[in-house]
Amino acid sequence: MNEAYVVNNEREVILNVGPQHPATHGVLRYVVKLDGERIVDSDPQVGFLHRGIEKLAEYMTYHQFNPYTDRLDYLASMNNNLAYVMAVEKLLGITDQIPERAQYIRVIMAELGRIASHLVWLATHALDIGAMTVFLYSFREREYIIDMFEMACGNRLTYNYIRIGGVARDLPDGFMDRLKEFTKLFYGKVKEYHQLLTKNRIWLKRTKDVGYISKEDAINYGIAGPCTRGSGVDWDLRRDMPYLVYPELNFEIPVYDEGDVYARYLVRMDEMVQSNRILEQCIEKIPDGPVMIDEPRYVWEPKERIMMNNYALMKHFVKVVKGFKAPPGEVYFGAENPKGELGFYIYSTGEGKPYRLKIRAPSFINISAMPKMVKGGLIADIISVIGSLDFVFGECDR
Amino acid sequence: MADTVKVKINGKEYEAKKDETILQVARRNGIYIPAICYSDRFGAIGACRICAVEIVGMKKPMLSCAMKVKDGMEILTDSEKVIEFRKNIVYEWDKFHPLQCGVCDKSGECGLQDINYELNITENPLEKEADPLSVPNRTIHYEWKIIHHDANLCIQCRRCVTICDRVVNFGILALVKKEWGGREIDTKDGKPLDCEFCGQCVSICPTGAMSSKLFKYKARPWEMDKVRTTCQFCASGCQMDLNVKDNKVLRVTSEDDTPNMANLCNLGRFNYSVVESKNLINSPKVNGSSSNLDVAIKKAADILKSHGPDEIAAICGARETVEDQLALKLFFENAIKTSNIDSFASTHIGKLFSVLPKGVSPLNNVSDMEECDVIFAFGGDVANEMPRLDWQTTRNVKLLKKSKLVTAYWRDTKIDTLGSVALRYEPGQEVEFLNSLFGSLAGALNVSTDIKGSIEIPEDAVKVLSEAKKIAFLVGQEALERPNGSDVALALANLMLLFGDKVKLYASSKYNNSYGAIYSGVTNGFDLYGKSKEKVFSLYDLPKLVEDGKIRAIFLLNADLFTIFSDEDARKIFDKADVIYLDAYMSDSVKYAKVVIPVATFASTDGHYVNIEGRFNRVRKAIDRDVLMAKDVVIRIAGQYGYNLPIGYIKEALDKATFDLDQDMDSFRNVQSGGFDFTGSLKGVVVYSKFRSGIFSSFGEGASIAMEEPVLEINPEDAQTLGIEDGNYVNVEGLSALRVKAKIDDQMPKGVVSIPLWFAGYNAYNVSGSLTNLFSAKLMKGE
Amino acid sequence: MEVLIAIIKLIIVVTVLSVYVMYATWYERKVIGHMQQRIGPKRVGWHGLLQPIADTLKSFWKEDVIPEKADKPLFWLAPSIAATFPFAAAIAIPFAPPLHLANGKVFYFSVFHSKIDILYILGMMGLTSFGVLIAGIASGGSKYAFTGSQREAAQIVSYEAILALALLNPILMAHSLSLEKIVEAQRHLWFVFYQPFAFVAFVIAMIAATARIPFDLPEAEPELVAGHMTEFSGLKMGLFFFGQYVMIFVVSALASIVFLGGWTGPVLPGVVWYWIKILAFIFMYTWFWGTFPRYRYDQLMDIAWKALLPLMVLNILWTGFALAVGLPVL
Repeated sequence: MNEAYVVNNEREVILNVGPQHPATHGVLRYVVKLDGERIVDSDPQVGFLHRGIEKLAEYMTYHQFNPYTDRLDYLASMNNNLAYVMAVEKLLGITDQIPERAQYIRVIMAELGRIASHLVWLATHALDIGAMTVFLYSFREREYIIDMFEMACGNRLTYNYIRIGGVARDLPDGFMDRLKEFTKLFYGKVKEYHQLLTKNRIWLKRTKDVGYISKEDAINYGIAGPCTRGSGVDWDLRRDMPYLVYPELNFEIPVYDEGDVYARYLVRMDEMVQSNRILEQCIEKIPDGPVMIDEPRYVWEPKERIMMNNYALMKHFVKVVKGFKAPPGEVYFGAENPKGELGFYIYSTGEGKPYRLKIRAPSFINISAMPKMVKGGLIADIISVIGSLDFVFGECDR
Repeated sequence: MADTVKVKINGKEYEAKKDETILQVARRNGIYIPAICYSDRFGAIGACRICAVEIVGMKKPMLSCAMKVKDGMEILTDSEKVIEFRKNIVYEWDKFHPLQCGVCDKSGECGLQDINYELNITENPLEKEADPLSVPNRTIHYEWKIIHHDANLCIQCRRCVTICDRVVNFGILALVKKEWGGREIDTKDGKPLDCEFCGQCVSICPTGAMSSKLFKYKARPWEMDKVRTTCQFCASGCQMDLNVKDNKVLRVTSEDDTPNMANLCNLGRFNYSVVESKNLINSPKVNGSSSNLDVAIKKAADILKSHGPDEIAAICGARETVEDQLALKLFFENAIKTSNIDSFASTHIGKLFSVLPKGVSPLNNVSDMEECDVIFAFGGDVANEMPRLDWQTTRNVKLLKKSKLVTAYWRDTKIDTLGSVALRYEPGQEVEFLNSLFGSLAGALNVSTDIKGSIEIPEDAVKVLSEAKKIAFLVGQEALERPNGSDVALALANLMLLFGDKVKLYASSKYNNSYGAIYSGVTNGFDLYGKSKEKVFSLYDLPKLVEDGKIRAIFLLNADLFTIFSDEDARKIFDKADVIYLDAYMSDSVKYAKVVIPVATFASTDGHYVNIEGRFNRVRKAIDRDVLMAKDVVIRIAGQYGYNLPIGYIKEALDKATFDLDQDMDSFRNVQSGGFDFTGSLKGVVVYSKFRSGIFSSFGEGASIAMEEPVLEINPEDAQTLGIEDGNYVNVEGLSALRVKAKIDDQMPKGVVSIPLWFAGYNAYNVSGSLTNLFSAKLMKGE
Repeated sequence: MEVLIAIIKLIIVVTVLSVYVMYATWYERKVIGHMQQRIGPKRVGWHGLLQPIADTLKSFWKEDVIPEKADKPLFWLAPSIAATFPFAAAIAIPFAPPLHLANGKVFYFSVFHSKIDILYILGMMGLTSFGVLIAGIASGGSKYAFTGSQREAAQIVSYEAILALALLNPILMAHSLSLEKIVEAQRHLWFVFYQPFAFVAFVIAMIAATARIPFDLPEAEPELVAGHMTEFSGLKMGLFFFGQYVMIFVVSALASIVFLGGWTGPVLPGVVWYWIKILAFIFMYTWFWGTFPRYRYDQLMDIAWKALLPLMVLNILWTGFALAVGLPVL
């Protein structure tokens, strides 16, 4: 039995934080053993939002599963779409054929998604620690991004915009203008957040030297994304296992060595700036052209063809009803998501549906390091650490 | 090792048997070769040519479905040449195929769609040749019953032609030249389709050309859930999928991996509408008026309690699940403490299984019939009684050409068209015939015996039978249901004993769980697992026992008395005894029973049926209905007795799933039976119809369209004598009179007429008398 | 007559304070709304002016859930105490400068007037924490409520001490515990200029004593859900808030009287100055709310005992020394 559930003396108290609790970002049940307010031991319990998404995947075609990935990390649906779609494309062997414009659009969406996700992180992290205004400021900017997403795909939360073979449709008129406007304006906004928090004494007191995890532990726990980069691990899939057009773009990977909540905070703050830089470059470089590959074996054909040619119509029915036949084999693709490395492992037996689909959910893995981080701290530190790990239960519980 | 060869497929070496085709070797090893016209159900046709492969050294691509492997052959299944060849075929098909996928029932499971996708057709050079306006100009057969044929959608793979010929052995379809210049699938004679309406052609058609009218525009294939279950219309135990949407069965399909190889007959495939609630008993009834379940169960228990144990009897209709039967058995033996249980199985296979000879294998897989070099079909029209045996016989004789066929019946039937050694006897002369055959065979096999008969057996039949290495005995239900059925069984047992362990027995039964009724010991003379036991109570005695007041309460489990007794007898039983009736379907018994409790149909039941093979087939719940399963009703009635029915025991009894049949007959017994005394010139026989299995099957749409009303079959000469023409109504007089339509059939022997069983509003037993199927017929031309 | 006037005053004070509390929430929401680039209440009434009434009515109709394990009498008592004692403290707070009547009598705009106003107010404020303590005990073993009330008790005890020590400096300078006298003493220059450290310490302590951001640890939402109020609902929970808002008024008034010269000020009439100062303090509360994160519990105690207490002791020593030797304080 886990130590966290055993009370050794009368000073120790077991406190159930969650699953219904204002600061657990969803439905985490965090069991802490307290001595006074000091944490002796703790154990995170997950699974309250389990929907069996991996199992569901075995019963649907590759196209059908795409919207389900929206429901993983619902704060960064675009990035989830991207990771899944890239995994499927790797399985199909069409990664190289994705039109360049589509690749740039994907990068734009992924980076906007990263900023949006980090803004929600900043908002809730600050709100948890008591700074309410930051919450509203960052939601103000997030709204801007969500509006842009709505322009592109009509949805505000679950986008399903990035599709196998490209993106659902080309960017609408006026999108690039808004993006330009946003990238210009965003540097100033990040400054505003810095003003409110970065040098704030209370903020420093609450985040510095709290929730420490060493570089070795971070690697051993398999923590990914900004959380490891806060512990001095210089690892970012966009640079180290490049995909899409990231190699052509110029950006830095912020790394801080302190390993505490504050370091993770700084990493994400810097990442937002870097993402904004990427966006600026994308605006410059994005070419014209198609946004979807022309590979009728795997992607929907244009309606004109389906209505005019019987073979196109017949193939369309097969793709819709039975799903396209992916080559047999197994494939893993991990993308650098706002929360860390989101990986999709697909085992295909050559049918229209995956035989097995496994999701490496960064939130799930990051949570595993929590007991290590909060041990010896106070109740309030749990809140700081939860905020700094930035997990989403849609993804963790899957 | 002489008959194994090595072949290279796509550069990899595989071992293969000598007589295998390339396609078989490839499929066995998981190498995909597309094939449209080929099916394991009937083998190669060679019409679609899509399965072409390249053989190194040969210029032209070869058809893998027909080409046998040769040692050292190098095969390429997807070289560019082959792909190009296949594409050209598909271009040809696509050229005229209408853009109707959106409204076509087949789309979503269409072979043409699949092949288009697999070959990734993105253009069609032949497109320009086809004038889109003149494309859908081929015949659409609106006039056919049940089956809809749209020649525009046809790709002429000839699967339907082949299955009709080689599996069903009916052969009504053919590619026929039409006035527009090309050829189309049509009936050979050009008349509207008049066949068995088994729908095998619908099931095999790769496109939407052949489709079911009953299913048309009801649902799309992907919308329905498929529930694998067992057919309820005979003891074949065909596995089929109920396609369910919105709690309704919309069609029945079957898959190639089933033991029945996706073959289904008209009853199985098109009669799913019997489970619609308009055909069912929808509420419990007490003394004829609607009631609720609690009251009905209380009332049933009160009736049972008010009589002594020996005054109560139970009858199973052999259509309920094994679980239901076991529950009834437990309830009767432990709570009521009586063994007065019998089932409809005792009218036929019960008789045979109580005299099973030593060495004979009583329960065999139908597909194992392929091991037999001789098939001996006796006593019934197999095609009518159990189509699955008919298909297997056809496969053996026509497709695999492995077996010789000997038929023994009073008339020619469909299987005789396979080319049989036909033995004929007069109805009622079964025992005499079997004795004669026994005598002749004993002589040929050098077995000394004093049993002999007076009918002369042709030499060739004796020769074929006596030289058999393995012999399949197909025993018709009809022969066993003769008034002297027990003697027929005994005579048959003698014959089987003569062959000993060469015999594989296939005894047909129209009752889907009659084998289960033997297994669970609810049949007279059988205990649990089919062990034999003392005969206590027989169905045959029921009318008399009731008349004498010895039986005062009867518990009927799915046993509609009007399906085995004449109306008069049945009504008498209902009058004299208090009857508790559990059934799913509406029937006459509902009108007369004291207490009627509806139970779940096979589509809403979970349980097992035992089929002719002794296999325990699952029945799965496909549609929800607010009705209990029969076993649960029995459990609740048992509860009124304060008896807690041990469900674990039922499970245990079921888990064994093997029969313990006593095969203790080890010596020949001399059976002498006079047969049936016909008065008058016409012999009447009650036969089973292909389109009915129980009166409730009349509710089925497919069966009632295929055969609306009963027909009396009569020899043309007799008809002429009586002045009857085809389609005339005649009054048949036996015990009482019936009015049926006459059909002149030149396969009928002279002096014999037959009427079928189990049509709505008509009871053949009224003419012949309960539990008999022979009568002296008197025909009067009706108006 | 005195009693009658006192009763009338009491009724008026309770009424005014109740209305004040309602509109203090509106004021706060409006202010923080604009700070956060929103507009705050807008729908109910003109500029959301009827919103507080709607909220109050809502809290009346809310279902009152009492946990099964709760100690029922205490569960009732806790919110009552938490709301009553702030009122008790508030009756000593003048709502306007005293009125010198023609007959030579002085009319005080406070229900209760004595020479030891400050002592009385501090006493009543101290008692308020009992409500919170009892709430924690009454909640029937709810760990959140219990931890919350423990925190509150410790916090109030710590910061009452700081509050008292910070007040000691002006008291020393004014030689009186009477609010009126203290205001008198600041006629020329407000004490805040003499005692900036004491003022800062007082402001910190008053925020802590009322448990507002950055010291709202007893009810720190992300940690303790709602602290001692976790198990309370409806009107009972409303009473806790009621008490808190009255406290905010009391300490704001106290701060403006003791350090900012109460109703003294140029040009404008005294009563206007007085209320401007009170509202400025309330604005400060909101401002902090909108700006600061929350301290951790141990840090809060560190500030009280390791920083403020020694500072204040030194401050008192210095003030006493300076007064004794006649130096201008600071």
